[in-house]
Amino acid sequence: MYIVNLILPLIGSIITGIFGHKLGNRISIKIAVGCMMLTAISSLYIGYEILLCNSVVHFKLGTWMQVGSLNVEYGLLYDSLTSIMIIVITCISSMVHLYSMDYMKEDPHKTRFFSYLSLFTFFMMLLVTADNFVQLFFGWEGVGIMSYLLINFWYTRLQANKSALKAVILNRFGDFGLFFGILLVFLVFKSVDFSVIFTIAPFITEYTINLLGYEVNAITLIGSFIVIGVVGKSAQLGLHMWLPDAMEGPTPVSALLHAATMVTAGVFLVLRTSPLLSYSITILNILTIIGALTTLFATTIGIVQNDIKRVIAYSTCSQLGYMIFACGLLNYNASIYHLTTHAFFKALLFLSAGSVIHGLNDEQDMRKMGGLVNLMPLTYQCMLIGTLALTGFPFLSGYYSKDIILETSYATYYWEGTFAAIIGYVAAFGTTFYSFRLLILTFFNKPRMQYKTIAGVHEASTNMVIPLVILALCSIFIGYVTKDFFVGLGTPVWNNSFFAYPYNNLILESEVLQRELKLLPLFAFIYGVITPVLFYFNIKEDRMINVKQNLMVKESYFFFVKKWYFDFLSRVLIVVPFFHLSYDVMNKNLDKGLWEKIGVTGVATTLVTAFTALKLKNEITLSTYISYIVQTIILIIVVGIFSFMTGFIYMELCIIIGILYICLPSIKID
Amino acid sequence: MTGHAPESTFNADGSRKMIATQQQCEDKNLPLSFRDYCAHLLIPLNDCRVSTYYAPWKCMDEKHAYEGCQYDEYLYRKIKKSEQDEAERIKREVVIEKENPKDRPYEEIKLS
Repeated sequence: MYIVNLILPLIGSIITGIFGHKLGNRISIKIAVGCMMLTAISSLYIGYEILLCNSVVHFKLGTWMQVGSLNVEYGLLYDSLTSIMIIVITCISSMVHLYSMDYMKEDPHKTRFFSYLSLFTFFMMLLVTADNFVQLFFGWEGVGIMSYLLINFWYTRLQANKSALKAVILNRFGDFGLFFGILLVFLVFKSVDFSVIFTIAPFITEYTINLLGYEVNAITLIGSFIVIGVVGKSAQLGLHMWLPDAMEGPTPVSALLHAATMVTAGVFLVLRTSPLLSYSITILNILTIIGALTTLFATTIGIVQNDIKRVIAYSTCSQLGYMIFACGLLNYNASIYHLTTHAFFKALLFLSAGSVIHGLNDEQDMRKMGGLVNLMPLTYQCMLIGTLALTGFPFLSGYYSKDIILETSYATYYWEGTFAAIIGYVAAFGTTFYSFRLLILTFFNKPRMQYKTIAGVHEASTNMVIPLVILALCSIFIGYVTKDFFVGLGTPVWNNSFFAYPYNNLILESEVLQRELKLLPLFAFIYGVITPVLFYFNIKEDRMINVKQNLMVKESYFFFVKKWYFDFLSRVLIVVPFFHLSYDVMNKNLDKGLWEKIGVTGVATTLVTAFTALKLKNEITLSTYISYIVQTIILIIVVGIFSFMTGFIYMELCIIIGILYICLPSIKID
Repeated sequence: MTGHAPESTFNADGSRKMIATQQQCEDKNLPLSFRDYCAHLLIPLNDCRVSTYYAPWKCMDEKHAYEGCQYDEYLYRKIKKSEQDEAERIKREVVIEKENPKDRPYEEIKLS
């Protein structure tokens, strides 16, 4: 059951990818979709065994490599965290596969698309089921490569090429950090197995590593590199630039990779290594601050975006910040809870946006949409449900998971938690603002499309509607149904999946917070609905004129549109110097130019330059010139005799001396 | 099982009484941070959760009893914190008095 659960996506990918054209598009795609749905069903059964029947599964499949004390084995670890992750991954992937059957129907390369999608799911499951760091890293790299291939699926588009390269390069920086973290883990623990590492961690909390003369705590150093990996994969502040541009891929790719699965790999890594990272307060504070700032950053930029998919992408970035700072506050089950609910309603939003784009003949600018509420009523309903769940409307999924993160942030009573809580409450308002702005511009306002486009608007087909309805039902109910399961007081589900010091019991403290703090998200929601209605609902110039003329509004808008100048700074400080170094210095002068500079061409050029300079000196008479030439010839003859004995370099040296002799104008021999 | 009058966690002399034993907590896999004086109510709650597959609309009696116990613990912590703060304040005042004997003018007059 467990091995089949892991292998089925790979089998579907191989059959579709290699034999797709022999079997025919229709049959091979159905094989891929069928394999994925079987995987989802087996994941649910595994979840029943592990989560409800409380039996953790851990087994070894064989030895991968054994070199000295390094012993890497193929092992699968199915505990509570893994079970939740594989249920989320396979259910969302099944919905996306089913949706893509019609969305990619007219694409000539759809077998390749389904092969990539299944292979991505395999790597993601490899990542979450690994029982050691090396196997986890293999899955981690795999999802990065598949991200490149899927973003660049329409590889004839230049913007898709650039976005895919951006994604893979920025992920590479994060992967580099994780790689160093794994090396340090092996250096300190002499093992890469999770069970060994997490057992030993409590006994080496005082262990230090001498780094450039400073004694650095080992766990803090390991954690700092792991945090770099988390920042890269989960698009946190600093390495976040790839996520909005990843929207160049097909919309099902955004729904799967950039809403539910790949971007949560960083959160998963923090949760998986929580028995290690919990011993470093510094790393936890760094995670809190990075997550909170990412939430604020992504929310403010999402407010000013006009591409429907980029608004949702920045929303994903913001929600990932919530998950990361919840982890930083040792609130692991609230983080996994939000990860789970967010996967469903964000996938719903992306797929609904895909229906809108599909119906509008691939238009993505919200300013050229409007009036779709009557033309696409089912898509509108799904989008509305997803939006309400995302914004934390009472008793929908996001209400339960987001509010508990905000309340427990305040309940820490430390400045990091208060900092994160304030930003979280502000971001809750911002989330509501841009989400309802999206709804108003897309569905409610007067249409701003061409008549030909309006005539062609159509609702999604059956295979696209079924996943939307299923995800909508999940967005409504899954938060309530699983509340006691994830974050109930004293729930026994998690066993040893997470570790936090016992006196950090935030959920208990959050039960007794002041009422004002519990009602604050509701007020954020109300203001977040009213504000875009006032400003965007059938826009009137007299109402907007004061806003447009306000200097602070204009400067703020520009600052947000420029993405807080992160792209500009990274270009000026990193990209341009890097290109100068790699091309002008390394490529031209070293790789290609070194032997030319000191070889035949260089010598000839130098001689020509010298003689040309010599010819410009008018004070030298003809007799002096002839005298120099004769002496040079004599010198070369003499040197030529010695060159047979001393070699090329000596000849070079003598020639250089001769050149210097020629160029000394003060010497006169008459 | 729990009824309207749950077993008290205080002994007759006012000291705390741990009803659930350490072994019971370990047998039931209670999370470390929840092995407090309400653990004896959490054990049946978790049993009920597992048997009803964590349905949030079930186990209301056990949940209510457990949350009531936790709320009483919270109030007890508030009382203890107030007492502790008061003791700290009194101690601080005594220290201030010792450090500033000149605040009492009759002492100064006597010395002069």
